[in-house]
Amino acid sequence: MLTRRQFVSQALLLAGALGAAACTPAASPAPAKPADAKPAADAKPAADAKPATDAKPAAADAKPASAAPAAAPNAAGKPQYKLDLGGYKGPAPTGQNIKLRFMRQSFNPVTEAAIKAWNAEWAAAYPNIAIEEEPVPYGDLNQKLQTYVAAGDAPDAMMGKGDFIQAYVFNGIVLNLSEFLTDEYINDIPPAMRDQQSVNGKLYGMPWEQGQVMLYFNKDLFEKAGVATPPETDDLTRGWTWDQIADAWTKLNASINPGGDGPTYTLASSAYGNGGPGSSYWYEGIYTRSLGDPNAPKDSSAYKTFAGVSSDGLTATGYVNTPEAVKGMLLYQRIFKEKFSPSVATPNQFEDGKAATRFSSINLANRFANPDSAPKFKWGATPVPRGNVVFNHISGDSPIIYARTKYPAETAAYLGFIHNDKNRMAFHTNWGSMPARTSLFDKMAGYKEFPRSLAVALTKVGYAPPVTPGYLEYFSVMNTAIKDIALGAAVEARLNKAAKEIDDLLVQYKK
Amino acid sequence: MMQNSSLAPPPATAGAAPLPGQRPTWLDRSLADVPSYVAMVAVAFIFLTPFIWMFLTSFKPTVDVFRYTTPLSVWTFIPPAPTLENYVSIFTTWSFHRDLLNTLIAAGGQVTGALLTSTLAAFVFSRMRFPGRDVLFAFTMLTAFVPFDVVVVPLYIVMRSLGLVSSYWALFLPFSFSPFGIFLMRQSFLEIPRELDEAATIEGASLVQVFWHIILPNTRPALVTLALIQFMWSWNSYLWPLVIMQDPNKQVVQVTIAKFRTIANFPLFGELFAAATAATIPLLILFFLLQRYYVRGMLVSGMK
Repeated sequence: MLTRRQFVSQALLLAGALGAAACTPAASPAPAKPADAKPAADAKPAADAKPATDAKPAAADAKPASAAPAAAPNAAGKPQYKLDLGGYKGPAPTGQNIKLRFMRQSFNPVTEAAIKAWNAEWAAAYPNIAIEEEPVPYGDLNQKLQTYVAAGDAPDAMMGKGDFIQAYVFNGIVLNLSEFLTDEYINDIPPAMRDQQSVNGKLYGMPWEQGQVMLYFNKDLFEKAGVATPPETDDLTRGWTWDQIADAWTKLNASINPGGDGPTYTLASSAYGNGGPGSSYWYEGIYTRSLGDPNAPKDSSAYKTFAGVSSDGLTATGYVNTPEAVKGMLLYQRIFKEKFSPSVATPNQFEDGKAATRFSSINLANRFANPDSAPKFKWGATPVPRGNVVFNHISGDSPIIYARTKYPAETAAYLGFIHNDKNRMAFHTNWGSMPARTSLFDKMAGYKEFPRSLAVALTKVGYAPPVTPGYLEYFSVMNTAIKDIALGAAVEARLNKAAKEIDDLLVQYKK
Repeated sequence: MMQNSSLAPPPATAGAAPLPGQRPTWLDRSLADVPSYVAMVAVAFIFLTPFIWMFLTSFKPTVDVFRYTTPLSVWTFIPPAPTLENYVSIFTTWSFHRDLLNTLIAAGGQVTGALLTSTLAAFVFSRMRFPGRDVLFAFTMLTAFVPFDVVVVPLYIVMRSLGLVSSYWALFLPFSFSPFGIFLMRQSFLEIPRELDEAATIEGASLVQVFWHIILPNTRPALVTLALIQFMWSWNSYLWPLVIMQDPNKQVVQVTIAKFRTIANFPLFGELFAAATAATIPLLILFFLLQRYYVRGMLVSGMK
């Protein structure tokens, strides 16, 4: 039993402790810079850019292992390698015993088996270069990457994200890959994707795959509601507009979800990001940016809507809160207001026949092609609805090389190897995603046939997310704003608030 | 001796309110308890339903997991085509037993470390007098209020400096010092009369003997409570193992469960529910075995 004196003294001590704890600085949301690493000067959109490769290795005495004598070059002037290293053109990997760390996401068992097979092939050719893989839950890749970088102990290669390349470069996290890759390989990357992963013409990410957004629909539910289905075509000019799909959603909803509470919905819950409303700007940004126009005058509202951020990447006001953006978000808000889609993340709705439409990539069609996961209804696919333009956020996961790796050449060689044609084909066959290399489409079965041909067509209208060194912050603020809008916030006021928040966060990137 | 019947109270009518001086019958007591039972059943239902759903769903193939969630029907809970394939998958393809063992090692280490440091520190804070003792105790408590996210990176750097990254030690060593544990044990130790220490000291017991033979045996419920709480924290921890463990063969269950949830385009809902069930069972067993100590520990340590 505490005496009153003891109680009072302990309460005071506790209050003191709490007060002191309250003074603890909060974690910064900004991407971490490598411990005492020099930021890559060329990360800044400046003319006098210095290459990121200037970043010094952590240990002062660490000499790249690739300084070891290279193998004799072949007739083409390229060193002889023991393996097909794809687009790699650097020095032959070292003969010293080294270990390379590679952090990536976990895949399903069949894909993991393919990865195991190519790692075995690497180990046979280069037994002295051990590959230590670190599979991480997909949703935690970015957090782990930032933690590693902040601690100055990042793996040599990490699975980054195309959207964040600008931010990685600005913070001096990544190495310039152009020095290690042939022009032929770099030019094989679809232009929009190449541009997204480049800064000042230098490539910093090696696109692993590419995503795109198409609209899937359940023909049985459309038929039941007596609503005409969208055209199944890879001719993007024949796809529906947002107004047409909104009209179809309204009719569908009146028939298949009259009470508004399911169990069957008009639009499946988003499967992007965290799912549900405000899931990921990568998907929801389409509603606004597609209403812009890349060919309009640069000072026009239409162009600014499309760009999403100023040309220097430092201003969002006037770009994310234009009248066009408000219009796009009003439609997005309708989806939840009129209960076309549930306001909580609900898995597997479309696959279970409980949603009439769903936004997804070609991966879903590839999954449906597997008899084990074929749906029990007739389905179709159509281009993503268009505004002023047919719009897709082109992006994807991209391995990057840590700026402070001791073994830049060997890491690049390993990435070249896992990106060679054979390994890419093995990956995409098992995983079902779309290669980020134009030449591979011809080799992959079915990419000339619908619906895969639609995915190919959509990559041609793929655009990078807004180009800013603060895309991590931009992405986070926009996700929160879009979620608030979905759940009923006043659209214009919320976009204005988001624009100001982003501007305030982008100040740190100004010179 | 024969009872004087005139003085005996008349028999109570079942269900009727007992007269003054009359003892209530078992039926009276039962009826009076009905609202309490109803409330307890309702609370138990609310808390247990997710677990029951998780357990039953773990026997559904992935394609059936969400197929029957709406509209609510018996098949929402009962698997229409029960299967053990999810359990076979997690224990063969995914080697989930290895992750369970890793988690057990981490939790065991954390419990051992926390019990050791908490009891020793609590003994000092509760039984010894020295200048600055209370200030030191306040600073110790202070560490409990620092958000873990803030210390992740420094902690990682410390582990790396010690050469412990990606080792089992790294999973539990940072949590072997527990301000909560020190507070809990100190409160328990303060409940033990000092006269016991003094009597033992007069009998010639050393400080260590007092600690070992007098203090610890008298705080068993609090020790069990601390062990249980530390075990639960370790078992459920996610962020730290995610950050510090690079070797997939030493990874813990929570991180593996997250993999099942986030493998895009390849739903592994069946495996997810099976793994969640397999990860929950050890905790439930432990709690049922030790719950009476847990409750008593909470009561005697002033944590209620």
